[in-house]
Amino acid sequence: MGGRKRIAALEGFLLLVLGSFALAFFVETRELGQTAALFPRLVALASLAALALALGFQFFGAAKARQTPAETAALETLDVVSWPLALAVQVGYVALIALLGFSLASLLYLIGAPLQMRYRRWGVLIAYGFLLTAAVAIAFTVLFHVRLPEGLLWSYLKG
Amino acid sequence: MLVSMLLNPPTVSAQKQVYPSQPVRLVITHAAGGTTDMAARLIQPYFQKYLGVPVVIENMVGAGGNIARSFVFKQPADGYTLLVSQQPSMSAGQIVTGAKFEVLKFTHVFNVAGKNYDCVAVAKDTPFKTIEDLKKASQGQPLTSAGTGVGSNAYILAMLLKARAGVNFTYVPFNSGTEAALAVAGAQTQMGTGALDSYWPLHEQGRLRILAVSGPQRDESHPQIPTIAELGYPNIVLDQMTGVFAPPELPNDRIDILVAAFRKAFADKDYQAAAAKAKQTLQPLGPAEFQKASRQIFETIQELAPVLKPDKRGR
Amino acid sequence: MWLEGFMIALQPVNLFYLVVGTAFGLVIGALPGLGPMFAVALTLPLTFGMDPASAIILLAAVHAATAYGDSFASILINTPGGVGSVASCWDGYPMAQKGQAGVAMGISALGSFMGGIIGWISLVAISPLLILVALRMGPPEYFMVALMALSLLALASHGQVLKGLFLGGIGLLLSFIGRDPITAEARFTFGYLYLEDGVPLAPTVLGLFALSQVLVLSEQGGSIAQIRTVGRVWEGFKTALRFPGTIARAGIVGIFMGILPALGLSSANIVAYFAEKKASKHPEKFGQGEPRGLLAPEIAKNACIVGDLIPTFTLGIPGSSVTAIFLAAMIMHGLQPGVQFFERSGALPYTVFAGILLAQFSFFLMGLLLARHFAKAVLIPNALLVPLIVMLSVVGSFAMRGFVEDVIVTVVFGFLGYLMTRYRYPGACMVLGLVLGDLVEANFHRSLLIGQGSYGIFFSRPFALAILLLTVILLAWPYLRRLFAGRPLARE
Repeated sequence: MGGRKRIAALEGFLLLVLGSFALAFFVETRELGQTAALFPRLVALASLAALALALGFQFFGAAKARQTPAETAALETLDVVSWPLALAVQVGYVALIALLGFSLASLLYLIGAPLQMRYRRWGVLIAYGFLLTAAVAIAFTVLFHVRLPEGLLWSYLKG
Repeated sequence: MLVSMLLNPPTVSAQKQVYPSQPVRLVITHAAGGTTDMAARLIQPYFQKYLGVPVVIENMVGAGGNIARSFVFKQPADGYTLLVSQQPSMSAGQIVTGAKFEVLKFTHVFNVAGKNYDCVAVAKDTPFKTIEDLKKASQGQPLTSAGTGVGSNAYILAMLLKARAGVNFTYVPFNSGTEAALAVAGAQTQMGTGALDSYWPLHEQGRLRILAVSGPQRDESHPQIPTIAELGYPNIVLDQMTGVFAPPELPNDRIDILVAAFRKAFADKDYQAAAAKAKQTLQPLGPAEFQKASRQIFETIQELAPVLKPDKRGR
Repeated sequence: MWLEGFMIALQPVNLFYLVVGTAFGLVIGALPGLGPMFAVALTLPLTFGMDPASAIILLAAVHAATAYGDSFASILINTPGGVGSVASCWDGYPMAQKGQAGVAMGISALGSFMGGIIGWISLVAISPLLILVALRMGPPEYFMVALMALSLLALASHGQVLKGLFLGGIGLLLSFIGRDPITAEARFTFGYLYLEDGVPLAPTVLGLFALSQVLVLSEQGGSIAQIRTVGRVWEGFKTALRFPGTIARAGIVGIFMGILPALGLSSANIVAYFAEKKASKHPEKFGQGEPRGLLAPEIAKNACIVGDLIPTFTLGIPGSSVTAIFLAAMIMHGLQPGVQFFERSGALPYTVFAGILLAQFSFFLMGLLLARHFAKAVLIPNALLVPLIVMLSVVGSFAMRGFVEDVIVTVVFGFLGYLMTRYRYPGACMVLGLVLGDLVEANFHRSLLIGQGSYGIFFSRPFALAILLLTVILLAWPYLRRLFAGRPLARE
């Protein structure tokens, strides 16, 4: 194991997001009363300190002896679908629910997502999509009395 | 447009003429099993029977009920979304915690249950027998008093005791009525306030002592406990009522239809029996009386606002 | 009385409710994110027309079976079936990946069953004793317990102590979002009503573990089990019984988390997991499919479920929002739990207890029937499984409260969780912080209020002090042990 280790861009992004959250919370505590501010302030500081130490060790090689292979190796992947694309599809699904309502969005998603993952047995897909959507929609609305999202489009069209 | 025609056959136009023609939602401010929820669930089958359309209960839990209240406040006033909520916690939600709805602008449809009193309890080993004892003991060093979060009924009662009876104490808020009651039973604090239901079982087992209830009269199920008023503080009265509200400016004809259904439900023997078994005290009030009672509670809370607003520094 | 109780509980109508309740509970349990609270609340209105014994038996069956069924999704698809089964993902899912899904299901079934039995014995035999302990626990003691549980963060992962602490801190900060429990000040809410209640646990863990895993599975293709086998459920039984120490430890954790109203299902499984890891000689095996890492949360979870009922039946006040529903069901029937319930209700209490015991057997037997078939889910091609997981996670996080924001929380944490998985950050630490935040903070301030501002309260109460000392000893134990053994500190 070499002394210095580069941090991948994505890992840096993760740390940036979490670190900024801690920092933002720390800043926010200035506007809070004593009681409400005490713990967030302490914890935010401690977290940032832990982060700084962790980064320090990583850059200056002091943690050399402690590094395990697990820490450095990213997951091996076959890259069927790259993760940004997979993420985009999930986000798209949620957006679609807001737009088209749960049932229609789920149907499209259940048929579309496997296609994206190179699944090509159309018969299975169609049956799968329709059956699952119907089962879940009926179970939740009829049995569990959950009001599933109806979709902005319909309410817009309704006027 | 074609799609909309296909998906939404005539219901849109029909709902404008005949009310009610679709299921009515009862949005509950708290989780299943709570006092608000129980009041709603007890009347739901009968209300549904006399209204003629399905009545669906929805628990919209969050921010001490304020999420549900703010939600219903913004809904269209078509009579299909109703709120089941409690006073005075609703007023406290607006006045103390600054939630975005206006209690008095809600259409007050019908009050269902009431006389759900809070109480003052003390730890078993303390010598306190009356409010006066508490007041005396608290002069040297403040007592400690358990209750639930800022704005809750337990909190309002505690602040009333502080402001109007001069009992000096440090208020310790817990996450639930159970935790507060256990804190008093375990002598973690010397006294506590909160729903009679939370403290009663522990009083019965001799683990703590309930001194008084907060209502204008004694509680019907527990007549042995005096009221705070009887103990010499007639200006400390906290009554709870659970009623059904609708978004502001619900048309009068729809109010009438809803009220008629509630009146019929209240006349139903089966409903009365079910309520009696569950020891629920009914307090049927039509829109005008309900609005009046609600305004009274709201004004009390408003008057108390300076005391109720939490101290920002804590402690 | 007992005989009479069992006779009534075994009447055909009650057996019917037992079986229906169990089946319903298993289904809700297996659905992502939906746990006992959802299932029991849904069952409540159905009980109004029943006689009291049947009502409680139905609720008990639903309650226990949901808690058990929650683990199905946790183990097989790394999707927390409910807040009680979050920790079951951490070693259960790696087992499934290694082709031991059946074994893991066996451990889960027997573990949950044993937990339920431990809980039941506590309920009928020593509940008055346990209640005395619960009454002794004041804010200072809760604070110390929370500190002890948080100290488990220090053993996050090898060479990752700092990252573990960092993520634990982030978890705590997340738990501080919302209204301050003491002063009710809004923190980090940006005036947004939704955030006043804080970051909801179920949608967060669904994102952190389920959605993040979905992204990994999308990349991998194939199926979850990397070897096309699931192993035998029976093997899981034998494995579970090899660890009596784990059973005892996790059972105790579960019971105490159950009886204490300030703690509950969501923390029981996570604390039991970390405690087991702490007790293990090979903590590095945790997270890689270590049977004890699955057994401990399984036992704690179901012990907690029954332990939760102890304050309800003994004191007549509910220990959690789920048992509040039990209480509501009894009150609707004009029954007042507590002392009265035992003195004036004849055979009814015994029927109820018999019913609770039968509920444990019921979910165990039905679970076994299903476990083998469910386990095969890991052989389904990921191309089909992934969309299913996503759809159920989305609807699961939405259904609990009906807030679209909950779904957005799931997606955001799904992305963060994916990055954490990819770079092997211990996401479990974040969850530990999230579930303990309120406990540690609120009880610290409550203690100060009770102690009139003096820190002395933490040291003047024997119980609190004892827990504090125990925490210090536990933290220092690895070093002390080496000192006692006379080995040099430098090694390792």
